[in-house]
Amino acid sequence: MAWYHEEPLPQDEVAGTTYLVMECGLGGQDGLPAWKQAVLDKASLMVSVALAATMQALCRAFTIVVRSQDTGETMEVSWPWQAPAGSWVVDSAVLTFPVGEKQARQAKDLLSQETKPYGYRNAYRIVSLNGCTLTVEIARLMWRATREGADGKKESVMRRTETELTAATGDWNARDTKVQRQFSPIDAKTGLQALINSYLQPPELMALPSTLRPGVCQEAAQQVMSCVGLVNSPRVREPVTFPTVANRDPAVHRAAWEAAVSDMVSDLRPLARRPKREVFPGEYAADDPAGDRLVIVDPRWSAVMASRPPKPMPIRFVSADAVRVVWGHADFPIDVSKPDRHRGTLRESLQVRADRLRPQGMGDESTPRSERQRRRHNRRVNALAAKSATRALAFYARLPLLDAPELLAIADGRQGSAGSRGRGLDFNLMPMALHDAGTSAKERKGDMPVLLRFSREQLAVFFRDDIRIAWSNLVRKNGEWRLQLTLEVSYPKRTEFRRVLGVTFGLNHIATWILMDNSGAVLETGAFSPNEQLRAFLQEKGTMERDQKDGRWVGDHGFARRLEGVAHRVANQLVELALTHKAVLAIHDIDWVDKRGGESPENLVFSAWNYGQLRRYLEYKGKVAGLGPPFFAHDFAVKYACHACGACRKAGQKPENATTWVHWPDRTFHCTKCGAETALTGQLMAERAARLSLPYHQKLWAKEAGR
Amino acid sequence: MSSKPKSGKRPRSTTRRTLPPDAASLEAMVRAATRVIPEIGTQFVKSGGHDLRARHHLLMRWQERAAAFAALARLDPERARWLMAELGLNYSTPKEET
Repeated sequence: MAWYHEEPLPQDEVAGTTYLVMECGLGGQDGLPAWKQAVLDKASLMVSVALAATMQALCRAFTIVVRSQDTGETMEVSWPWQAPAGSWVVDSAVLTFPVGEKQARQAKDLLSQETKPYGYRNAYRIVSLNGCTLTVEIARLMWRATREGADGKKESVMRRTETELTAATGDWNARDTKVQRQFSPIDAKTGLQALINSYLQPPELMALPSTLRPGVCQEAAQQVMSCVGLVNSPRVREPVTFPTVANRDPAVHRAAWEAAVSDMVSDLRPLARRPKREVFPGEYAADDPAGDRLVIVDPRWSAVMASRPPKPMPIRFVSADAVRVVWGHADFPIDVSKPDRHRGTLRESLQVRADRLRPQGMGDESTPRSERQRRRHNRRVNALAAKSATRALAFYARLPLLDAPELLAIADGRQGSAGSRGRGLDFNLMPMALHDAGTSAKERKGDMPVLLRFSREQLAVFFRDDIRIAWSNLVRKNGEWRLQLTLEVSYPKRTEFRRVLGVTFGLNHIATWILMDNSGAVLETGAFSPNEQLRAFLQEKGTMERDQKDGRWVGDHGFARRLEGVAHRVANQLVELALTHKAVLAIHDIDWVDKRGGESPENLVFSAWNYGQLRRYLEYKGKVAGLGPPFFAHDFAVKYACHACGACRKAGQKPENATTWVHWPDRTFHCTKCGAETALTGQLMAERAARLSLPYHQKLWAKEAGR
Repeated sequence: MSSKPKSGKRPRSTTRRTLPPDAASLEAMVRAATRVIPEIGTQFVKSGGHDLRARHHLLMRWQERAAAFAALARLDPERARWLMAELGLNYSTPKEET
């Protein structure tokens, strides 16, 4: 058996960056106000139209020259697009498309500056300009020869073909010259993206708000370059088609679906059904009654089931400072800001006071009021509502969307304050810590602030200085828009920490820890008990099974979420403990628990045990807290290495001749080498984990001391 | 998201209801179902395929209507033909009954 401890990677030892993805709901309790929802829906539709148009334009402009690996003949693949299958490699990939006058002038300037025949100065290379038709090369096969010059420096020559290369490097000594074929596609993230944005410019793309364009360009560029990669790959045997986003078009899907439903509406013929045994042959035995169940095999119903419209296209913000998180104070109406406890009485008293305000004869709706009376009444009621509302701290994301006339029109035509919660926002919004670097607090004109809904843990992240937004997405999940922020966390390692916190996980105590100083002396021990995770699991499982038996609806309980919450809490406590004691983490890396056979109750408990989840949480939480990545001590070493003499059971040793062995029924550890015999407690295992990590940490600390 | 289970038992499927014995009630049933089925379909489509309850409801209502119409056709074929023409429905008699 080969086993090893998982040490942090050398590049992570001192400092590093890690990425966290945080997802926030948008809007308050009732979701977004209708007009903001409409803006997001419309923006997503515009993005999908722009992406489709961009892909179409790219498809028409795109030409690939492929070369057969067997015969060496070349072939041009262009619109309408179908790359051949088999052993073809990409020779070059070229875009030819018409450009405007301004772009043509720019291209002409660039072309006149072109000096190196085969270099890619700008990720893409402008080949020619014919009138207003531009030809740009984005990938090509090159031949490169490299050798070490007399001064020890590497020199290299790059040519289009092998013959040209030989001619150019004729005087080079063939022995120490390295010739290689190099396929150099451009970096899709930069080159092609810029090319689409500045030269190709399909009109649908230019209609988008300027902040949304890079996201669309990146998506299109990635798809095209992935297609080039597929054509070039020898492992892909099927013919490659040009990527398309037609199957993501919500309009097409919706039409198909509506047609399927309306077909069903006007049809009365019974649905065709067949027994399961026939539909899934070989699945059911002849005497299995489950095989007799009838399933619907009707094409009409299949059409309804199959035509599932895709989720709307996500709205991507590639730029780091596109989306900004800000905070401010907002007036929340009483039913939002006050907890349930006071809800009834407060709302009632507000209602009574509003009634008292109402002038005589205005109580019933049938009597017509004058416009003036109504306005005065509304003003008074609004003033009252504002008085009783709570000013609360609120967090907003500024989405840079309102740049396009279509979206501005939605924003301008919005209704007053009706139907929206948490208005009364004062617009002196302050940028959060995670935006201080590189962005100014200045308000941008086309921004739409949306209220963020997030957990307390996420809130803590907002206030950190060392976090910035790398990029962000707006996605629609279950009919609701959500903001995904990818946060870049740069963590300096706490080099002053000279202690180790050994941690192991168990069934009775969810985590057992031990604090060890740099010489290996145990300073403090402790355990988190009882095992809340298992308790919550068993309780919930019991409730659920009882409900199921009674025929109640058992979904929507948030079961998994509740268990996750427990695991997060335990991991947070451990990280906090390490920070207070100035210790780094050494974790017992349990990766497998033998299941018991038959009806053993341990089967259930072992399935519910979340050692892997805790390990995963500690790994990233440790990084984010500045502890660096934890040391993971291998399970085998923790269990079978002697705590007294360090002897460890070897591979292939049988119980009768083993160096160390554990008598599992009473969990006693025996060492035949030194004769030690102890109970294998959680504390012992935590200590072993810490002790096993000591050599690594001592070496690291010595290195740091020498720096 | 409540941690408590929803109280009460789930209602039994609508398809298990016994069909009314007279032609007038059967016709009313078909008419009612033909009115609500497109609404349920719209609800299902609008939700982007997420509304599984609407999907289930659509199938149940559709089956209920098919059963009611089949019963009506057996009871009063003339009336069923008129109804079919009026509502613009498509129906062919199942093989075993011809």
